[in-house]
Amino acid sequence: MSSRKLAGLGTTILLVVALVLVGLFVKGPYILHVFILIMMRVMLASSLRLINLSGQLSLAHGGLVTLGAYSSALLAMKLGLSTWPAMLAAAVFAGLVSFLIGFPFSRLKGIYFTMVSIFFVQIIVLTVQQWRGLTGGASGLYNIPRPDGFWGVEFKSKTSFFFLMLGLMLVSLLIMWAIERSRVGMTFRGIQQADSLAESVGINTTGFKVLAFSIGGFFAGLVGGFYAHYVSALDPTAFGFLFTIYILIYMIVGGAGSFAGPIIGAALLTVLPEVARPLESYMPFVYAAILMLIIFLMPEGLVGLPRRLSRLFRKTAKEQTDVAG
Amino acid sequence: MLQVDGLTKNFGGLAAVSTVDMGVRQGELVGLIGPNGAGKTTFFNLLTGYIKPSAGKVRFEGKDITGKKPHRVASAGIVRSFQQDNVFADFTVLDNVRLAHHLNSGVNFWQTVFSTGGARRRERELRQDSEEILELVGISQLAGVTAGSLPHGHKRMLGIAIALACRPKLLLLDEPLAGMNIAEVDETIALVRRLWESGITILLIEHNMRAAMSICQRFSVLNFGRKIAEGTPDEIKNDPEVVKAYLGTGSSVA
Repeated sequence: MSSRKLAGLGTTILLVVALVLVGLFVKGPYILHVFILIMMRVMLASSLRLINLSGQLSLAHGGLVTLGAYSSALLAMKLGLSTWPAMLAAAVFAGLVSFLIGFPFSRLKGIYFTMVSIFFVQIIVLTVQQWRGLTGGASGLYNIPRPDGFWGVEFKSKTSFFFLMLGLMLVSLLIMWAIERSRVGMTFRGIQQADSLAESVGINTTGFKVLAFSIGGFFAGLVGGFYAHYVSALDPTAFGFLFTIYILIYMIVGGAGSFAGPIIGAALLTVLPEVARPLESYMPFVYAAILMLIIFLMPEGLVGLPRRLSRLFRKTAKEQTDVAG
Repeated sequence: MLQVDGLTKNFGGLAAVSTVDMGVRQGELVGLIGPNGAGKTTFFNLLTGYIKPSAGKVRFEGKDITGKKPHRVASAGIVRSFQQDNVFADFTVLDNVRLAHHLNSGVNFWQTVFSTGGARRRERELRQDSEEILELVGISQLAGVTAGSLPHGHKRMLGIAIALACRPKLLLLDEPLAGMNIAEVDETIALVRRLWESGITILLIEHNMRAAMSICQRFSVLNFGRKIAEGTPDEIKNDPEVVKAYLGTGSSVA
């Protein structure tokens, strides 16, 4: 095992242990809530990156989260489905919708794909707002059932939701990591780099793009399903356009080129508004400023920071020896 | 093997390729030549499905492949090289060729994602196959280099290696010698000949006439989207239409 792999594995284990300790010993509901938000956003930003691997910058995520959240809530409330199958069904449904819209969407390339994906968010949000009979319209849904307990665990406390989300996030990240490292992930990246060339060696680029989009949609739906039963109330604008843009910012600020990027981005940029409460109303402005600074100064994102610093350090060290010599 | 009948592509009022008939038999090495803008690359794009023809038919091994998507054409056995964007720039040279084994990777989604024993064994074989292809093309010493940082000549060689990984029956090479220095031209000609001798049928677009004349058995000549001549190198050299297309009319031929 190379030292880089070892370092990655070590960091991962440390982080997981740290999160478990947080779950065991931190009792403050506010802190736990922030952690749950971070983990949700880590899942979303990472799944957005999975789609991005195949060369598609999607902004449909907010729509897919909304779809997942409402599907799971309505399946549980109107059809009396048990919460776990409802959540899974919601994720599958969001994946399926991604699959279906993926075919027409993936005919468009670059910025045009991104634009129709934004319209998708608006369509979902407007549909949910207008379909009052089913979704409660603008006033939203209330009293969504909490997840059913099992093995003596009741899902009432923040701690229980923390561990539920931790489990969901770890399994999801593991799956996404396995996909990325596999031949499928290599194929996604190949399409991103040169899609005509990929097509010429027999890769069905449309199929793979739709696959990436559907997997991303599945995880977005899963987060939505979790959220519905966690917060137990939904309103149609919770995951609108601005939310989607934030997910994108987490990914880019952290670094879209690396698996750790969206994780770092989502964590730091979720904590930031919490510690900078006085700036709360200026947050979109602050995010935009951070985004622009990162794009201009560190195009590879925060992930590239250690390498940048070490290079800087080596350079100054070299200059000093040059001067001395 | 390849049978093209009346292939036509109109861009607006302009016929980029106009009623071209052409055939390539198994085991041939055929050249497709013509002045700049004659429609050669468009012809390749039509054959391989990157552009849909306005009219005409393309048959390969008896099957109609007219207007099929590029990846379907590739799985039928026709693989092309590109002049530009011809490598996966962020991958290493070796990974470029590994990815290009897509069609015969023989690993499905679940096997590769769960990294099953079978998948890992197969990936080792593919890695070895890829190394052999790099050896054959003559860039095995560059296996670990990021493809985007290669000099032009090596990129073109890698482009051929990528095409070879698909195990093509018919290989379409789009100006493989363009932009190469003299030593690289000789290497590439030798390589094309080796590939042909190993049993791959080749259709080659080339501007370097001397090089093309030295390896191709037969030529088709395009000018303004039409086929103006066809024949052996000697026939082509002496064809008045060809001479006119290349040198123009009115002046005496030096």
